[in-house]
Amino acid sequence: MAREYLGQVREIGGATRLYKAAAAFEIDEFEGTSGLRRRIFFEDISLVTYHREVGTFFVLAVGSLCAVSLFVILSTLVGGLQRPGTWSVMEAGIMATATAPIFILFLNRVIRKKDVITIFGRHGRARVEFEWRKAKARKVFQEICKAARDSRPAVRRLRPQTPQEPLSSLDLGAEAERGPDPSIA
Amino acid sequence: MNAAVATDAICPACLKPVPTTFAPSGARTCPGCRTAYEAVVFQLPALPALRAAAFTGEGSSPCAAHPGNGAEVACDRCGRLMCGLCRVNSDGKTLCTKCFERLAAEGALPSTVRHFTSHLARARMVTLVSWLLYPFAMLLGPYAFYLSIRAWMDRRRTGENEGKVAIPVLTLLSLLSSAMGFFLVWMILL
Repeated sequence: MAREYLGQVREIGGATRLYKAAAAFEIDEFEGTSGLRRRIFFEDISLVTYHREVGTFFVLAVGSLCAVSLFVILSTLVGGLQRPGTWSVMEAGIMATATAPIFILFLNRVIRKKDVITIFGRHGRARVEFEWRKAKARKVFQEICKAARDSRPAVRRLRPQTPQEPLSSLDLGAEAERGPDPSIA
Repeated sequence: MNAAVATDAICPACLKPVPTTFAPSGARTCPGCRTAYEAVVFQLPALPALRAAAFTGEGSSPCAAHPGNGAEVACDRCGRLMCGLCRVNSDGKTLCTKCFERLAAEGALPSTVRHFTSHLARARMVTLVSWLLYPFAMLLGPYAFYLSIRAWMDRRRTGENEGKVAIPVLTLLSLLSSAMGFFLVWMILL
């Protein structure tokens, strides 16, 4: 059976990709062109979590870049407006167009955050992040929980001692308003 | 020590234990980093104990490695009789420990493969370098083409979707790079 690609985590110098195989989740950790493969068997999963985070390093690094770009663009624009007949306004427009993807990336991270799914197993953990596709993140989360649940001979899930808090309390956005997933409950 | 700290209650953001008197699934907030997250807890099944039936001498054969245990099955590779302690089920085969170690060392068991080379990643890198260092394109272009073919063979073998678009693009670019390299050499020789 071919593996199913679920998601990845991009890091400096490499990436970690998560796949779903027949009996386990396989984590391929790439460093350059070679990689190391780890496995977390479905029955070894003890905890699966879903949360949203901004990422301090990303915000600081990309935010600084955005600030510098904005300063350069604005100063070019102001200079162009003060000296009519020069190409400065056009230069500012070209610079703004060229740096627009960085601004979009920064704003998307700050406003929408990235969705992170973490799998904790008996001998290790795996993590997958989703920057843009929130619905895909929720679908992968449910798929992981289902695989872990189906691997148990008897379906048992620890019941909370207090009434389960609604997802809306997590402030996870629109998905929370749909209520808890009945297939998990 | 707080005996109520659950070992399966870990904050996914700061990776520190979240103290709970029980381990409910649902919404949680880490008291350390204040990250709100949703948790689904699964009880870990007990690891199965290895069992082996004693060899009674009536209608059964003894295990080749443990004469006191009755054999349950024969190894798919060497045919050696094995008891419940010796058998290893891996990749749809029932193997004895020696055959399992031998096949794992040879890389013949996909589930035991840990280190691997991504020919697709190498093809990407070499193709990019062949275009950047175009004087060496005559050497790097064919190598990039070879790597893209290997990546295609890997994809065919595993059946994965990765590289569906990238491999044909890299193959084309490597061929163009090779052509460019040969053209440059031809121009120099002229």
